[in-house]
Amino acid sequence: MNCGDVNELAPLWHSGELDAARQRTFDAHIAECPDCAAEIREQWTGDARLREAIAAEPADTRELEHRVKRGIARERMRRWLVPGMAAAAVLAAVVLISRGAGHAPATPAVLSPVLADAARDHTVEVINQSPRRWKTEPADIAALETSQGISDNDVRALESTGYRLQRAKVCRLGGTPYMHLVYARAGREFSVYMKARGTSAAPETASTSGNLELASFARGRVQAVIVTDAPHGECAKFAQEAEAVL
Amino acid sequence: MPQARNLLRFARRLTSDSAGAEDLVQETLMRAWRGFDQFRGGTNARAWLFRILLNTFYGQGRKGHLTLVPLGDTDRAGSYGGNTAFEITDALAMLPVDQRTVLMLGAVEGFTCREMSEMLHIPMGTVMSRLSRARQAMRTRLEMTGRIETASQSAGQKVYSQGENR
Repeated sequence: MNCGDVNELAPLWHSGELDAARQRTFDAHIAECPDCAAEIREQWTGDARLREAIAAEPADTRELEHRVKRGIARERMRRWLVPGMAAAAVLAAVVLISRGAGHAPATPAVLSPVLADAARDHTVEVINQSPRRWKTEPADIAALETSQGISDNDVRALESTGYRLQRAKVCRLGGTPYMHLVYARAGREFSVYMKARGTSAAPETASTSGNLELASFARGRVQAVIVTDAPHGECAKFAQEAEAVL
Repeated sequence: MPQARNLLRFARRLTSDSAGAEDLVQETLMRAWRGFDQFRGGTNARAWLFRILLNTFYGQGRKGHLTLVPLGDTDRAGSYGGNTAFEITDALAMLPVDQRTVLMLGAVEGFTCREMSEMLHIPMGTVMSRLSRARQAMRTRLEMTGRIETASQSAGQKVYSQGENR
């Protein structure tokens, strides 16, 4: 090993990354070469002084850590409210709804046209069970999917999470055709409004409207809106599971 | 939070001001928390954190600053082998950001060249040459101040003594 080799390998010597054989020849060289020995010693003391100078620098991280803890707490809360959507901005719209006796169609005050129509549609079609021509046969549902450009895989993927597809039809939300799918689990019914995703996806949202909970998100090839009158948290749970499989 | 101080001291070498450094560390720790399930147990958690910080910094399309705003509270008087801490951190700040980065990671944080190579996505040879150049540049700069305690100087020949201001 010559002086040039020592100069080149010095960084590995400092970090202890030389293999045993090279370590031996490196050490043997600097034991006999005063110039290289002085150079390595200078580097070593320079590093040590730098470490000391940096360590002496004030670094009060209390406020910073406090901000991080607050940020984590906020995100945890968000995840609890809308599992699976934490990374996205989640808008919680508090909506005042005037509702008549029973389950009259809601009159949304703040919801977007799509969500407002979804809330109204779920109330009329699922809760009040107004007679509609639902499709229940797999072949008929598949034909609806084809007409709406939706993959049967996406529709069936939701069943893998334990929700059973009951029936389907096509409706319009905010003037746009959506496939209205009704899934059931543990005696609760969930409306999933699905359409093929365009180039611009609507933002993820979570809202409540009277007794209804709504969630909207874009995943894979579809834009979906979920509506349910199931107890609090069920909509978020379904949305989380839907996001995981779509 | 373990490593918060080390991350902050390192971040100060990348950003132009203390507030920017704190924001960078805050974002790093938040990202680490969010991505903790992607951290593989048994691997180097420190290296993982510093990699997140670097990715966060460069992911924001930022480039390292050549100089730093001096930190008001820096210990200007403490002597570290003939140079004040301020002189040493000042010399560090004058290094090109690529050299400054490897010197902080290698000499101060104790990462190996292989770890830095993975962290910075550059070849080992590049890490080694940057480290060598950084060490040489630091020494040259501090020697230019006439205040470095070279190997040839004995303790009694110190040009400046502890407690002296710049």
